[in-house]
Amino acid sequence: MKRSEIANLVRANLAFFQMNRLAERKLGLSMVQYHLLVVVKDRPGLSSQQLAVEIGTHPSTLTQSIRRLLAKSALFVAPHPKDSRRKTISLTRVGLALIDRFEGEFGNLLSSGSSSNPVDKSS
Amino acid sequence: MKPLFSKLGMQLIESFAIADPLYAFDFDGTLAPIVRLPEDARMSKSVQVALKSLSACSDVAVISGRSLADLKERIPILGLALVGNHGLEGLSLKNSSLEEARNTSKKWQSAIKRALGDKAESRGVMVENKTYSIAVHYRLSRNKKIERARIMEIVATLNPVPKIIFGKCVVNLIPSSGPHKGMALLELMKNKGKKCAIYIGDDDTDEDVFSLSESGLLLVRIGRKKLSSASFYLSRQSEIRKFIELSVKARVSR
Repeated sequence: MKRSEIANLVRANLAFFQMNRLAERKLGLSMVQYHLLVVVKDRPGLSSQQLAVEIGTHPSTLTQSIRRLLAKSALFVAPHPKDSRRKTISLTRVGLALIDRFEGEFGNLLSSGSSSNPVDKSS
Repeated sequence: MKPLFSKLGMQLIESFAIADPLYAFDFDGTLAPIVRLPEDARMSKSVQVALKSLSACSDVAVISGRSLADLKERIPILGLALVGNHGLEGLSLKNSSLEEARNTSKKWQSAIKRALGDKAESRGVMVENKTYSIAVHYRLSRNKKIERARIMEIVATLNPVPKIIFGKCVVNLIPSSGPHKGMALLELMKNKGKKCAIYIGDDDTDEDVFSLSESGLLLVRIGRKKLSSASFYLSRQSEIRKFIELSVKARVSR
């Protein structure tokens, strides 16, 4: 892999993190949080393990995002109906409103945000 | 089991409504109250109206032990998915399997009638041929324990051996190769492209649904029962109207 390609990957990664932060500040949800809410929306009552499998990550990686979404009242956690040691996660009306807002406004945010984070297209 | 009309239950009703689930119900004891004679079972006008409203904004199914023809007569609402005979009718089952189930049911019916004798009906025992399965009712019997034991003795002699599902004062006999209500619900979900469903039933035949371990299912029993695998319960059949109305409200405000 060329140095310039690695540099572009790093820039893309930084741009992603900046966009994630910007989206959370302006729209109330980061892209990661949006993706998590959409998965929970379609499958209410998922356990955090199942949610991690759906998203393709480790449950511990999701903990922080879930905490932030709980603080925003976008999700609620309930004991698993058949196994009290496990918890299930479902979407609230607040979460649905956040999804709708994100879907309505993210396009504009992306086009305004991407102009300030160009990735080198020379290579 | 937790009450469905609790804070948690209400939150789940709302979350499921957002997810556009399949709403599925048993008929007898769930949409319609249990009555002395099975042929008298009817939905109340208010439940019928509520169910019609729900079907206008969601996918709705009824999965019953009754035959499909019988079910169609009792549920005059267009657009509902109706599944009869515990999943044998109304789904994509091969014609040869249905033919086999029909012949087996006929054979069982004659064997049971012969063994019960001429005075079975006067003792309150009725054999119902539901085309693809058999139901032996003993609700009208004065001595239910004795009649049930007698029925079970007869059932033990049947060939081929049936799958037995106990209901409320009824013994259901189903060809052992046939599906059950749980399989019927999963197939309906697959056919309709649904990732989640709410199922409400009242009977032992519904335990095949309640014991499903798939995620995305809200499983509710009419009446609390310690040994049931359902997660939530409604205290009585009459609460079904409130549930349907709440679901319509949640779906419409989506």
